[in-house]
Formats: sequence, C-alpha cells, structure tokens
Amino acid sequence: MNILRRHRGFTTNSSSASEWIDPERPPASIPLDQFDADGNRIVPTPTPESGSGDGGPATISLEGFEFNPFATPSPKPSPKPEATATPAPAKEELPSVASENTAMVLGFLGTILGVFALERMLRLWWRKRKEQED
Amino acid sequence: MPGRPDPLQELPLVMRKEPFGGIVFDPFDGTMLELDPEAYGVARKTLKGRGLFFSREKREMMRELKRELHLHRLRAVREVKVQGAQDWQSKIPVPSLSAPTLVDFQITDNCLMGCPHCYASSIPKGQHVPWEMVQRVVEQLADCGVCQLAIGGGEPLLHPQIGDLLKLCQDKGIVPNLTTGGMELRPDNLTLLKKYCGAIGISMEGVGERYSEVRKYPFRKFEEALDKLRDAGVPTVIQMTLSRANFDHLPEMAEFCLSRPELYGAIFLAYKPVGRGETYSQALSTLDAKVVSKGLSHAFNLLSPHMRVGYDCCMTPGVAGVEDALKFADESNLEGCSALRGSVGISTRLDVIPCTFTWRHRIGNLKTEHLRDVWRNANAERFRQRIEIKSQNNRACTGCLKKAHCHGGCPVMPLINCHRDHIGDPEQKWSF
Repeated sequence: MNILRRHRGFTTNSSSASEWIDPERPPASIPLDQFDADGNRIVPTPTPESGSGDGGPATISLEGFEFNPFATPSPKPSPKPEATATPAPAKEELPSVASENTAMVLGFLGTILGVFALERMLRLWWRKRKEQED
Repeated sequence: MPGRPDPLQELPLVMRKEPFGGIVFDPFDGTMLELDPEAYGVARKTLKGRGLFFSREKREMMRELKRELHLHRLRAVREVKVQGAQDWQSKIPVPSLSAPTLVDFQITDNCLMGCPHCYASSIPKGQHVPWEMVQRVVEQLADCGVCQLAIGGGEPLLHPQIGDLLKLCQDKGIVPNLTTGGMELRPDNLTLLKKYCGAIGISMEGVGERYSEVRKYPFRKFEEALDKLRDAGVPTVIQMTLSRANFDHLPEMAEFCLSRPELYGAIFLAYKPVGRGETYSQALSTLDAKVVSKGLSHAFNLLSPHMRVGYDCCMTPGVAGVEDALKFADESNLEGCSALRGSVGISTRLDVIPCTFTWRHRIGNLKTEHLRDVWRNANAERFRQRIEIKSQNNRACTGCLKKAHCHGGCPVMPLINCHRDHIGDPEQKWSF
C-alpha cells in the first residue's frame, strides 16, 4: 500500500510538467523529530487570513493529524468571508485519529462484553429449560 | 511562503482510477498523488468520511493522506470516470496515465512583445482561438478529468474571453494557471488572476540590461509587473529560460529571485530552439554537463530554502546528475518527459501535440476528435515509444539507476546533457 509518486505545486510553464521541490512540504515519511512536543506537525500553509495577499509566511498547525492518539484536536481556523461568498458544500469534521482509536478500543471492549453477556443469557435460558423439564 | 488563492480551497478534490491504482489531486496547492490500488481504496474511503480502518497499515496510509492533502475538514470530491479507461492501457512499457492531468493550451498567437526567441513565433497580429472552440476544449478536458490547465500563447491576457475561460475552468473543477509577459496586467486582469488562478508564470531571461536587450522591453517594467502581481496577491512564479546565451547569468537571476520574497516559486526551463528561437541561441546541450550541473546545483541550493523550486521536465537528465546535491525531499521529485504520459499540448489550431515545443508531432485535432481518443491513438503510442526508445538506446542510460524516472531526456531534440554522457562514445554526446 503506497503513494507511488507525489507532485506538488501549480504548473505554469508552457512545457509539459515541472517537478517542484517544496522546502516546506517534505514527504510523509519524515522523521518524528520534525513534530513538535505535542506530537503535531507544523506545516506552513496559508491561514485564511494570510491568503488575502499579505505575502508573509503563514502556518497552520495540523492538529488532528497528530501521532499522539490521546491528543485533543483544537478548533480549526474559520474561513475568510470572501471564501464563503460562493456557497460551499456543508463541511463536517473528519474523525480524528484519536477519536478513531478510542472508538476502536470501545468497540473491542463492547464486543467482548457482548459475547460474555450473550453466553450468560444462554446459560440462564438453558438452566431454566432444564429445570422446567425436570 | 506566499499564500494561495482562497477560491481553490473550495474546489473539489479530484479522484481518478488508473491501471496502476488511481490519482488524487488537491486543487488547493496542486498536490497530485499517484496511489497503488490498495492506497486508492483507502483514499476513497477516507475522502468520503468513512476512514475507520482496523488495519494498522491502512490507518497509517489514512494519516499520510491527511498530511499530503489539505483535509482539515471533509472536502467535496469529484470522482472522474474517463470513458473506456478501464479497457485501455498503453502498450508501451513507459508509465502513462489513462488521460492527461495537465494540459498546455495556447489560446492565442497574439503578442505585442515580439521576443526574438519566442518558441510559438507569436506576432502582434496573431489570431485568438474562437470562444466556441475554447469551450469545446474545456468540456473535453473536464470529461478526461484534467486537473490543471496551463494557459499560454502568445499573450493569453490579450484573449478577449480570458475571464470567461478562467471562470469556465473553475466551474469544471480545473485549476487554470497562466503564463504572461506582464504587459497586460491591468487591475481587471489582476482581479481575475487572483480569483481563479493557481499561479501565474512570468518569464525572465536575464536581469537588468540583459533582460532589456533580449525582450526590447525595460527591466523596470518587468519589476513593476512583479509589484502589481504581489500587490494583488497573485501567486507568481518566475520562469527562467536557460540557454547557452544566458547560462553565465544564472547566479544573478537566482539572486534576483531571492530579492523577491513574495514569489510563489522559481522554475528553470530548458531553452528550446523552436519557433523564432531556432536561430536565436543554442540549447544547454551545447554546454558541458559539468558546467550546467554546477550552475544548476548552485541556483537550486540558493533558492530552495526560501521558495519552491521547479524545473521543466525536459531538464531532467541535467538535474539527475546533481540530484543528490539538491537534497530532494524524496525521489519522486525526479521525473522525465511527461509528454503523452501525464500531459499534452493543444495548439491554437486545436492540434494535439505531445508538448507545446513539439508542434511538428501532431497526433490529432480536437475540432474533429475527442481528447480521450487522441490520447489513445496510434500516433500517441508512437510518441510514447520514442520516449521508451530514447532511454533504451542511449548508451549513457545503460546501467543508470535513475533511468526509470528520467527516461533519458527529450525524445525529440537534445536539450541538456547528463553527467553520464561521457559513457559510451566520447565523440558523440547524444547516441540516440
């Protein structure tokens, strides 16, 4: 299961394609030391505010992409008013990795408990039936 | 790093199934991912908000996708099914997609600049592509799931329907990019560029007097054009066309780019002796590979900590020689000729050509044919075969580990030398 190739950036030249070396978007297989103390990777991309052409560097903390499964996602920056001028499709939050892990653990525990409960009920039902027969 | 246009955040992500798996394109910053079948399956589920995976490997892939694409929230997805794509696969072993993802469209032959090296031989009395034809082309691009349209000319801003074209592209979910000489940057045009375009390319062959000599246009005006683009917040790329005539000036061009921190990026292009440029200068292949490698390496390393640096895929053999010195983020930054593998050119006559520099290799015409059929026709296959033969027959490519990515350079004309060109016959630099 692999990403075979990555291309980044808009291609403006009139030849066929150009390959971008984007210093601020390294590949996903980056070492863990490129993440901050909270386990969040800081990828410089424009915030909605800086997209208005101020030309300055901007960063968005990609919280919710963290490696720490118990980190709590922080609220995302709200979009610019201009950006919402055209009706955008309704957005909903993606399940974060943390909530996904929690869901998995809860699901697993639920299944175990469910099996035990079912086994207990079957035993009771069997015993009752036996008693009736006797 | 300069910002990207906000409207592009609202464009849907594009997904397209391919014989090797599939592709995902993020219009926000032009990120294109090629995925194997399993990863494509994970991408489909993740992008549809059903990314709950029990396999560790799949969860890791989901995280990776979230990092690569801008998935702060669920975004609309446009899954393109190219008609007949499942039944077609190129018979040529060189890797190619089922339809292009990038198209270069020359919408006009009209340009007031009259540069002596213009590959398109554009003139002030040049013709514009009629609007009906432009619409027809864009419709076909949308059918094929094209992600980016590189609009060129001539001077595309002189086309009377340029605004309509940019809007049409956005309506179809295609990111338009545009190359301009910078003369026509009026406030109304700047608003359009800011609103619709991924990035704008503006060409430069030298700094100061050197630029003015070549273009017969004051360098001060070029700087003013950059200022206008900056003030309007348009992501701008400087395209440096490198030939024998200006290669010595590469360091000062790189320094100039550094002095413009607002730039979205810098691209190095190999000079092509076609059009009016046929007699203007000579390609980089007339220079020693070591000289070119050293110059490129210096310029890349100077610029890359500060801005995105790109290169025209025709330059790949030259870049492959200094790949290690360039400290690429990953090996997928090296890719050879993409003509008819992932991209295609369309001329003002709607001729389909492998790229805009190979106008003699017409493979079809969109007035009478559909792009998806032209992409799969025998002429296209013959050109792919040229790419394959180029790397198979080039003695310099024998035993080269980068051959699979580089493909040995331009299959039509020698544009740049490779550091391995001394292998084989020293008297004949290009053995193809």
